[in-house]
Amino acid sequence: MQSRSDDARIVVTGVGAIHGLGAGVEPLIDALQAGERPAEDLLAADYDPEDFRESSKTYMDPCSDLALAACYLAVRDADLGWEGARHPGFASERLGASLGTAWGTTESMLNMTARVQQRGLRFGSPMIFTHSFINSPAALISIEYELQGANMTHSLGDASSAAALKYAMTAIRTGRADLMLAGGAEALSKPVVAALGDAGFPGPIGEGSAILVLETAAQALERGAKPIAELIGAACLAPCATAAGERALLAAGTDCARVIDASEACGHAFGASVALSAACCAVLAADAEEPLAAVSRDGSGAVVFERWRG
Amino acid sequence: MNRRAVITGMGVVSSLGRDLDAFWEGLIEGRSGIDRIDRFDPEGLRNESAGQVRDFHFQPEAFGLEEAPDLGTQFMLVAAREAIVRAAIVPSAERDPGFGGVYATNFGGSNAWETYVEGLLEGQVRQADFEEFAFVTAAEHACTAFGIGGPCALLSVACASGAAALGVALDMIRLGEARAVLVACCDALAPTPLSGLSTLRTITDEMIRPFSADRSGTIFGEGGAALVLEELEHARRRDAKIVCEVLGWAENNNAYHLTAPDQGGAGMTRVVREAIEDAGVDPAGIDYVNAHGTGTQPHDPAEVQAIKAVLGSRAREIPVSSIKAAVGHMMGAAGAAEAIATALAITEDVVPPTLNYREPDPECDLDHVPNVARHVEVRRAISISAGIGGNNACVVLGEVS
Repeated sequence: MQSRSDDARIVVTGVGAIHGLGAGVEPLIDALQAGERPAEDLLAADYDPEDFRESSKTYMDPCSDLALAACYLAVRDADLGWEGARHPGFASERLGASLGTAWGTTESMLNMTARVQQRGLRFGSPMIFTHSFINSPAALISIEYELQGANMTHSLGDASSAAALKYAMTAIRTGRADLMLAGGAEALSKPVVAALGDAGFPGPIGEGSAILVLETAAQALERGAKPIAELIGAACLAPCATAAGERALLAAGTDCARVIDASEACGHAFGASVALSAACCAVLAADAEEPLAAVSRDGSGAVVFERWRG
Repeated sequence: MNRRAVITGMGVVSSLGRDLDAFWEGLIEGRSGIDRIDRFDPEGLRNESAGQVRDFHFQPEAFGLEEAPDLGTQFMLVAAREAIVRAAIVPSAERDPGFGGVYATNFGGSNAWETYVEGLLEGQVRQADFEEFAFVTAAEHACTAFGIGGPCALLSVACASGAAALGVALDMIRLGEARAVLVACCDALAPTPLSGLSTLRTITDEMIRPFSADRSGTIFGEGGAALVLEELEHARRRDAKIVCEVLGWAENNNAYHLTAPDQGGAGMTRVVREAIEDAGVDPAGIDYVNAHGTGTQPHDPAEVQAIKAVLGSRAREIPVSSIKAAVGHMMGAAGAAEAIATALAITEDVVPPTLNYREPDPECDLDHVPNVARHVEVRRAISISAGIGGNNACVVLGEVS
């Protein structure tokens, strides 16, 4: 990897996370290092979405709230100097967002469908409907920060945020974007919890969002930012294909990595799980000699990070 | 990045019929599949008509399934099988690591979702319905049915999904992640999305008339659209029948509003410009634009502005048509179905017409190919898509040089 030029190297310059243990990546890392596992399912209930917004909102789906909260923290962590939608020194059309979610905006979908089924087709709410699109959390990120470049929503089960991080990596590497806010968000809505309960899903389960600020090493260094870690490989394969780890390592040009699993600390957060683990990887990489990997529970998605070696 | 990607197979399930030939013949003959919805009671919608797929009988065992999946997934699987059969491509293993899959849908298993919520509201939780709703399930079914074990993505960027899926597949080929990629997109009509689109007043209470001065909204449709994208040299080595090349693409977001278009179609302008740049072609060499052309009052002029801004004087010399009045707006499958229509315009040198066109609009003053298909030489063409959330995507197709 060291042979790549700084234009082709992709670094993490900020992370943001919100989950059942609170806000930030530190509570996750503390719990992982202390070996503290949640005794039961963990909701991200103790936060006020208003505290993490750049602009006022009339209606928000819980999944969008979580995604925007993680972005708010990541943007500040990366010291981008953005003020809401104003980002001096950056071209809006070169900035993007890529988000993974398995279940998306199912709380709003339930509200919408309940109205339609109970009152009739003419009583759907246009506002709730608009916020029930699975791409609305990522679209709201782009609106909130005026990111006019790439914008993508991935829904690939547990591998969703691995797909989102890989997409962001590709967008930067192929020159489509200079900087991406990328990660995942998952909200444990009523329909999700009911279905998982019925399926007897082995818990504990959790919810939350994690966003990584990804950019080229060249740009980060030019703006005087200190890279937290380097994103060296990513892979996302067909669901139930379990070789993503190997493929990600191959793409990273390395043959082994230590796997970090944030779900041990905050419960399994489905489409956000790889992003939450990836945020921990990025922070822990500073003191790690070996590469660190975030791998989806089904093995079909993986991302690999390494300490920034300059 | 020197690898080139070509289309070697295509398949469509639409309101015009259950395969590619029915789709293309219907388009060229100027037929429309839009009719009154009869799968559920459409009472209360602004318009009770849609492009519904008719006489469709799914055989689960043909896809290794014991039971039929959600309706949208059925459309996807049938279209995908047609594309793969036409491409005559055979996976190298039960899960071929060189064969990728990119899927797209706006609403996932939207009919399974309706059933799931019906149960939930009655206090019954039917986990199997929830599983069929989950977006990932369509990808699982398709990867298993067709031996796909390579890179995978399932995207949802509203009505830009289908075009973006083709672009993501192009990147996989260019980067050498796969030698062939199945692109398969779908959406089915269902009460909740239609209610939302109706109350948003996106749907006309009259008839869909893209680019016509008297347009008053769109009409939705359903179906599946699939393409096999393949690395050029791989396709040549196995002597595959090449349809055309996917030259470039772009996607972006208006970053303005979830539903309202941005000023002057700025986001669409950027996406068309970037796609043409990515393709490395001269805007003056574009022979046809397959427009998003939804037939809503605000959308169509914004799209025309974007086309003019990028193509300049060339915009007035070439046909710019929309197929949405023929098949309805196929939502997550629209971009892929329109890419297929664009590919066939290149191979057949015929462009499909814009149906139901009545009155010229000074704000939509391009050659919109009113009502009758036209023979014209098409070497390179673009297809534009846009969706709720402000997502835009554009693909550039062309003859293989």
